Amino acid sequence: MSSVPRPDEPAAPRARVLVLIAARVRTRFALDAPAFADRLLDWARRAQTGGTQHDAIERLALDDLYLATACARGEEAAWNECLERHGSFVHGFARRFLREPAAGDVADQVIADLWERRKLERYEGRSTLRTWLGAIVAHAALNALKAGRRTSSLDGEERQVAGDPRAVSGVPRPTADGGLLLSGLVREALESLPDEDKLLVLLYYEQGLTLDEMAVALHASKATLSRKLKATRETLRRSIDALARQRVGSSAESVREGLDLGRLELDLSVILRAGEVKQERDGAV
Amino acid sequence: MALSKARDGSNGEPLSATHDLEGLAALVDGRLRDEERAALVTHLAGCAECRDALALLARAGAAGLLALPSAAPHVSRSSFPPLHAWLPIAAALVLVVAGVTRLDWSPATHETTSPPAHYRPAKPPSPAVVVRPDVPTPKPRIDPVDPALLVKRGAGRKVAGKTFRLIAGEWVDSAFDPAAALPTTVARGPDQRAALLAQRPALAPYVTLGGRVVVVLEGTVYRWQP
Repeated sequence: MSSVPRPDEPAAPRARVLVLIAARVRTRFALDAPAFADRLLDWARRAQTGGTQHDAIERLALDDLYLATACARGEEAAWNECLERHGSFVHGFARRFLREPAAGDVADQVIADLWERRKLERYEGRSTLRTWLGAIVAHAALNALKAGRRTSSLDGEERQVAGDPRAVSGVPRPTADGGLLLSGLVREALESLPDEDKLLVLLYYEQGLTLDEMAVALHASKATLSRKLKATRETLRRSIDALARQRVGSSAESVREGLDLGRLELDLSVILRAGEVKQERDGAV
Repeated sequence: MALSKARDGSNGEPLSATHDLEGLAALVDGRLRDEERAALVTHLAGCAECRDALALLARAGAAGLLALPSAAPHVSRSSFPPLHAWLPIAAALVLVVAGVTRLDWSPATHETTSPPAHYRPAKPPSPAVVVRPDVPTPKPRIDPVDPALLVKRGAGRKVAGKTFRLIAGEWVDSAFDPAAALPTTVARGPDQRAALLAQRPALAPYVTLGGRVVVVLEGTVYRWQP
């Protein structure tokens, strides 16, 4: 058997990964390219991604993953760089959704966990490191918010948290019968939507995101989202209309009078957020 | 992409670590393949906790928080060779030019026979560009800079209720008084620091200050250095 590779034979996977690393990673820490390549190949084998391992590795944020891997190995230079690039972002992110001192505590705990508990090992490079850190802080902030609500519901005090859209007051609640009926119809109609459309409605009405924010969340253009949301609202309205006639037997005219688009806007926000408020009041949080 | 199963419906329990936070981040970054995106959208349509996290991420992204500052140390590679690869070529050019200028092109004054009339002096040879790909170019040594030294002298920071001042590259707790002669524990290097933090977990928040810190905690001074 000849040991000389033929020109038409693909290079060994490790060699191809090393070429990728040479092109996209600045190997500036003790972690060298071969060790990093082994880590990538190990991940690709475990991830069982569709397509080739090389394709999967090529899609990763390699330089960020290199930095995170060096940090997870305990390299102080890597940790210093990570802190320099992302430390103030972590604090700023937490402050956006929590007041001090909770924001500082959450940020410090996230950073301490990343370092002490080697949580940076969990980062796989599927997103950028910064956005991943943002997701980690969001997770921690939400837990802190929920813990705060548990405390406030026991104390009977209303605690306002900075930036929390659900601290909205003054939104009129639907009447018991009409509201419950409409709430049921809306939820049933929502369930029948395709997942993408359902998510649009939930992000807009339940989460209170603006179109700009939804464009970031779904990595889509604002114009496309605006068109889709408008079309989905119309589909929802027709669905609710049809369900009402089916369930309640109201005439199409009277149902249409109560379900014009303007009122549907308010009802969707109230209905989709009311479920959460009810759970808080019942102490389920 | 392997998505962890989510619990449908929000019951207010803390967001479990099994939710795919990196998947959410990849969605925001636009780095998912179509089938991965579709799977995550299906998950999000049924998981309020993940929608909550995605909403926070989206708000931060819309406010520009997710963008890296322009002075990031990452250097994107181009296909053009780096500057130091040209040094051997430049050095060779310099040598050749120096050699050419030393050649005596004046009419021969020595006793050897003069060149024939049809002789035309050869053009100076092209610079001999010798590329030796098997000899690796040494990487420039870049010493890591302690980020604490990059901060202005005298700057202050508050961490976990304590105030620190940057003095000679070291973050010093405002509660520290050298005259008080409190018992002091010093950790040198990452291993000793890790051992110290394992013994005193209350010191963990101060790790964020970096590699040179002096903290006063419960009547003891703790100091760590690289």
